[in-house]
Amino acid sequence: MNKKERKKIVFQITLIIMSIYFSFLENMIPKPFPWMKIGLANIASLIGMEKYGAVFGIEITVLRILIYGFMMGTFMTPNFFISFFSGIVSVVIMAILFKFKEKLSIVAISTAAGVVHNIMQLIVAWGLFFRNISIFEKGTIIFIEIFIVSGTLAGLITGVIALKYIGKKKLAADIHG
Amino acid sequence: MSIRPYSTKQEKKLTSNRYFKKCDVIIYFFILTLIISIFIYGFFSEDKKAGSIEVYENGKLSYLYELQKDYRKIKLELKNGFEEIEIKDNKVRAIDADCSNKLCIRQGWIAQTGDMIICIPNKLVIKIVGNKQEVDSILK
Repeated sequence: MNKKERKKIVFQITLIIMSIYFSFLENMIPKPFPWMKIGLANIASLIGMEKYGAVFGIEITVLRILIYGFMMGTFMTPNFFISFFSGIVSVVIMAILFKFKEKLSIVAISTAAGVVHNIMQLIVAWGLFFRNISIFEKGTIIFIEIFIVSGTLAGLITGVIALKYIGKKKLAADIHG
Repeated sequence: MSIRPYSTKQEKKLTSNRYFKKCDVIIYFFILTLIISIFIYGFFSEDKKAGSIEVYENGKLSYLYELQKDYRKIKLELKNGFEEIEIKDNKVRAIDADCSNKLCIRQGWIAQTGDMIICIPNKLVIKIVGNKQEVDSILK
């Protein structure tokens, strides 16, 4: 079993490195707002989850966030906490939805995780910084709307990309046995 | 990877390869109702929390009035004089006063939180508090 386990671990490490690379890349894309990211790093979690199960995917995400935080020197900053909590909650939702894998496509799982991620970002940021601002004014409502919509779009895009990769991989696996 | 034993139609029939499965609708429905409900809430809720005015006489608070949309005329009886103020559309202005220069009347309507009408001869300050603020501060 050592060879199989090694293969699994190597796959996991490759995915983690890939997601770190994606995070870094996303940091450099010009965005209208700094948090409006497409979350390409979650592609790695989805791919890992699809192949080796939910816990595998959760490990990928958690390690990716920690390592990226260390790398970028943001490790205990408020931004890191926002990213960490929202990432964890979103990947847990991904894992929960993954139980229904036969009835749900990966695209829908990714979309749901994307929305949850953005909403959690809002909640954590509100809890840390903005306790005194009422959330019922028109300005904040527009803000919340933009967040939710961009979260769904991001989830859709990452889900489609991940599914395309998984499809090609499965085809290759079927061909090569 | 140019060996393709399947046609693309067969490829699409591989189980986890589909982009859309039936139960996806549940998730999309949830998300859509979330977006639409927040949109409707933001679009149609127009409650403006009206503030109130504090009237200070010689530095001490003597009157408190609520700002309202309807027209209301108030005559403030002060120690050494009087001041007539009007409240309308969440704004307030001074109409009549017994001071010599009538600067308070010339100031017109005030509406924002923190704005004041001051009458120095009567030692009167009318200040707006607690209104929904639109900008933090204005540099004039």
